[in-house]
Amino acid sequence: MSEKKILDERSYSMNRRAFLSKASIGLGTASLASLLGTSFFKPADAQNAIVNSLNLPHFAPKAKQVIYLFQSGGPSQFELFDNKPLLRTMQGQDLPESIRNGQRLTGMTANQSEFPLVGSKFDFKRYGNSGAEISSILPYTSKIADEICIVKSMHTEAINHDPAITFFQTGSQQPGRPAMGSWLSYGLGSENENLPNFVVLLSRGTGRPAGQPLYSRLWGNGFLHSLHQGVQFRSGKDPVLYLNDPDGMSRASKRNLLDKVAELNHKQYESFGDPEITSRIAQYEMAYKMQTSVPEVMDVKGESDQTYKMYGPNSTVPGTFAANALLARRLIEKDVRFVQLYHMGWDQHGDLPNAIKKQAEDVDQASAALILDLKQRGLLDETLVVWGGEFGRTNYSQGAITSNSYGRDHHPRCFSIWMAGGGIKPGMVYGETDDFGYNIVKDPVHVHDFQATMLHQLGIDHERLTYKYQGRRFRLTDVSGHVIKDLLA
Amino acid sequence: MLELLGRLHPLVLHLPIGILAFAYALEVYGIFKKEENLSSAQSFTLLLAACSATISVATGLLLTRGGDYAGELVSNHKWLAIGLTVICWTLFVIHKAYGKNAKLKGPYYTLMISSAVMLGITGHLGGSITHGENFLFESNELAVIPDIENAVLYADVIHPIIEKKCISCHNPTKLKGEYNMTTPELLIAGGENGEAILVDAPSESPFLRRLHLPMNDDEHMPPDAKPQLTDDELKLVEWWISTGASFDQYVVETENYDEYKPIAEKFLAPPDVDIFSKIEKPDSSTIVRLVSNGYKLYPVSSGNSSVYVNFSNRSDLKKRDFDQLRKIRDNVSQLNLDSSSLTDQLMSQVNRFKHLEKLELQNTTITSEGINSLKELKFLKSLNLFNTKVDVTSMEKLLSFPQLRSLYLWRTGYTPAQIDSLRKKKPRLDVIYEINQDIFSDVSLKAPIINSKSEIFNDSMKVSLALSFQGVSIYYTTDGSDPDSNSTVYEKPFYIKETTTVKAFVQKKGWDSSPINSKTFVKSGNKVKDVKMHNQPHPGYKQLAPKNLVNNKTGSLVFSDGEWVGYEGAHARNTFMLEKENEISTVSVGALESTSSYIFFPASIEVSTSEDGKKFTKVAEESYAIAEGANGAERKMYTLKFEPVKAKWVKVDVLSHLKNPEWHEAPGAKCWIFLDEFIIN
Repeated sequence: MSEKKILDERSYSMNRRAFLSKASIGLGTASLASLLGTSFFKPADAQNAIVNSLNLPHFAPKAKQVIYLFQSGGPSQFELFDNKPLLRTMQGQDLPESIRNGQRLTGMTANQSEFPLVGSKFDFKRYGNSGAEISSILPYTSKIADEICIVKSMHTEAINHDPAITFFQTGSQQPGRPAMGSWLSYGLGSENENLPNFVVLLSRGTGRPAGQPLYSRLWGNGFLHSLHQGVQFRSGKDPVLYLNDPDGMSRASKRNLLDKVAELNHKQYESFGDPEITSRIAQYEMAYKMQTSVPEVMDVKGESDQTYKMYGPNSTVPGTFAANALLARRLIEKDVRFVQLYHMGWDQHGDLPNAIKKQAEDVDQASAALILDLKQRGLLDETLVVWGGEFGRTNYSQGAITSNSYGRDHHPRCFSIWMAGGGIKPGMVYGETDDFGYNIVKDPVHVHDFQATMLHQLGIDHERLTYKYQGRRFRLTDVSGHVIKDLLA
Repeated sequence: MLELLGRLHPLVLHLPIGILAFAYALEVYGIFKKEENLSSAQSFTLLLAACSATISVATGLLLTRGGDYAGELVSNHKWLAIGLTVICWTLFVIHKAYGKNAKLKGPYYTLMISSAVMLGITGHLGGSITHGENFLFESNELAVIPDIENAVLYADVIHPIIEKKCISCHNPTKLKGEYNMTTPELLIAGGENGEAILVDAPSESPFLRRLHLPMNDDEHMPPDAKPQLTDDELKLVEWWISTGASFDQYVVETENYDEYKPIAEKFLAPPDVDIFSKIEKPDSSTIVRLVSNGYKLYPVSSGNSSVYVNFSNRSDLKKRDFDQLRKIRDNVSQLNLDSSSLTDQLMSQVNRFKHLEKLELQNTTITSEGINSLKELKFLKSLNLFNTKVDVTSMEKLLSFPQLRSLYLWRTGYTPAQIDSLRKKKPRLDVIYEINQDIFSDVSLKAPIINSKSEIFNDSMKVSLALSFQGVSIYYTTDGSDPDSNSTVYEKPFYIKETTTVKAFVQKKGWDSSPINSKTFVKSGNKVKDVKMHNQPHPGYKQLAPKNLVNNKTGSLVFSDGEWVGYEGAHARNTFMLEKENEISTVSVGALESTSSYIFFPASIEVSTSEDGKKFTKVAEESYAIAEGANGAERKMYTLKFEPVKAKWVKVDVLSHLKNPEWHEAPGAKCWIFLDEFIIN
């Protein structure tokens, strides 16, 4: 489709929207429901102008904000949440074909002559009222067992990192669709005009410091307006790159410059009608506001010793998962809609026991602290926290099993994540896998089901949050997905 | 006989009311129709009124003799009625007289008007005695029907039944059978016939017995002329008494709940009843105006009329802002004032939102005074007071919100003991206070960071120690020994001039001490002028090679950080030309191992030297065993020592294992060596 045609299509849809909006105001309908379809969000702010056509939220939301603690690389469920004693008793024996059933494997182990089962090197105990089984390498998570809902029956379609993360974040394995945070920004609008709606924080794990890389398109806006894209906050002097003014430029002259540029852009918009121009104007404004708001939110000096103690010693070191978790709480306090953390390094093909222990140490205390900190501040009830990776790992070892080491390959057919707050039932374990931990036997949760459930908690019917692009209405859950009601409080 | 006459009171009392009303009508008629002579009709009417009033008073007095009626209300009613009767007689007498004496006209009308006022008051008081006080002005506001999950059996189910069917006769004013059912204690204690509810044998309580008696039995309650308990009501009362007549037990926690649940559900709201479905939706133009004025309003959902108002982080909050919301105040279900400039004075404005379900006041300067100025927020479910100055003087108010479920009180004036008593007083209320700090009690500090431009230097190196955490003391040594609290306290950056190992740790009161961090700084005596690579590294990891092999910078544990030069399934053979010929005795090589990334330490290192760049002599060789199992990422410096020898060219061959070992997850695949730095001394 040519650029011109796309623009025509967009301006057509904008015109129709504007027409509908004017028409119903003219009718003077007093009902809020119809009002929502038109001008609940009236300000000139381009972002909210888009929101006004969406008739959102569809129903009363339980959560207003989301923190997604993404564990990139595919954490092994067998060493964290899914205890399989059978794997220990059958250690070293070949995975029965009746279990695998000829399902595809990655190129990394497909050529292995045998698939020796391997049990977790770490012990499990039951915790909390739900009796959730949690591994000994998550001592802090086990203490919040009553606050979280562990889902042991997640499954995905992708088998390699990038497609799997892309699938989780955008609902499609192919790059190019908007990320979850972008969808929420598009659907629900902003509650803090001084900060982006979708903030991304990255950290590297100590288990595998040079793990799989992440691409910024994972927090891209896809075909949505570019002001919905995620903004990465870095540790260090410049949290947001290219934000600072050149030396010697005063704030007043910057303001002056922006006003003039906006004037020119408006003229351009009037003649071309490309909504990206209004997005650009809004982004310039956002950058201007962020020059003061970002340093303020990144300045953790005012946090008490007690807080650092909770989040653990790493929280004093910028750029770590713990420091990012603390920042996530600060961003939530500032009404940021979606805070996306990525912790890399969970890809343990070999040397798993050693590396996963370090990975767990990186995130365990800070994740637990984040939940409890949100709780004691009264923020957990309306903040949905998600902890999990893009897929699980195999029940058999990649490479030989030695006395103190083994590895696990990617496994999309079952894996564990947990959720907390935001109207999710606390202290619950959902779903079951077979004794081999290879297939799901009860209550499967597909990635699209997870996404539908997340949107539901934010007051969104996943089938109705759509965006028409190139002749098709797209949505986060593509063409499937069911809200898992059993997970809701 | 006399008692029977007394019971006629409710019948006769209406006669004087009607007759007096007729008298007033005649009087008004007379004013407009002056030509007609109504005098005798008026006189007769007044006589009738006076007589019927007298009879009413008499029957009333007989009724009170029974002793069922007492109290201020009855006494007021009695004296006003007597007064009214006297006035009626007076009016009759004056009316007779004023035909002859026009002066009496004034007092006549005065008396007539005051009789009307008294009639009104007396009647109202009488009504209050029968139907209960406030029956006239009973609020027609939305009633709070507690939801079944949170209802207390007595307070939310039984008491309303008693109130509807019993209390009109058994209250402090109208003490039938000397039984007052308005308080739990008196309900149990009973009246003239002794205990009504037997705590030890609840099923045999007279209270129950009387409810079950046949209708024609005199002792049956309620009396046959009064509204009876329905079967459902009866069953619930029975359930309540037979399970011990508790006054604070929750419905869901009462014995046999499952059996009675279907009945109880009829009396209670389903969980989370939506009051906003009954409230009219706000006017669209109002919303549009507010939003365009910068107010952050959000519909809670498109299905109902409730609105979330977000004032968080507003530093210039004024009364005016609340005034602006005037038109939608009944729709506001959530009000967020987090980190705003809300004050106790402004708190009274919050009262205007009487349907609030969630109120967030955290991080503001409000005190108990502000909380106590809150009126009854009947629907309030969640109240956040985190990090405010409220204290225990607000406790009573906090307990008074009937639907409150979540209360956040961390970082307030409340002490843990006060929180405990709050929890005891209202067990269903979730009071969120400081989380259990024991969970995080034995946390040790992070080891300090040892900062320098690089780990390799030519002349001297500035070293600084840091931990971005207030109030820590950093101790360090430079002699290789482990530091303790007697070691040097770090104050400012220091310089090292020789190869040195710096070790440091931190201490802070209330924390476990950090582990020791150590870093070795290597002095490099010879500058390398040129490097000749005999074979090429892997193209993915050679961009800066060979310069980064001799740039005095070491790599991190991330092999892709730009400092590392990688060889896949190949050895690394390089010759280094020094700036000038020198006597050398050591060669150090920095290498990385990260077995999960197929990276292994070298198999062996060989060093040869030359004075002319052509003829090389091997001066040292060392071999190393391959790792026996998987390792995390690790960097190591290999130093080969040999007899001092003059040289300008130094050839270093770092040999790879070439292939992954058998135990590896990819046995036999090409393995890598990664090198970051060569130092020649």
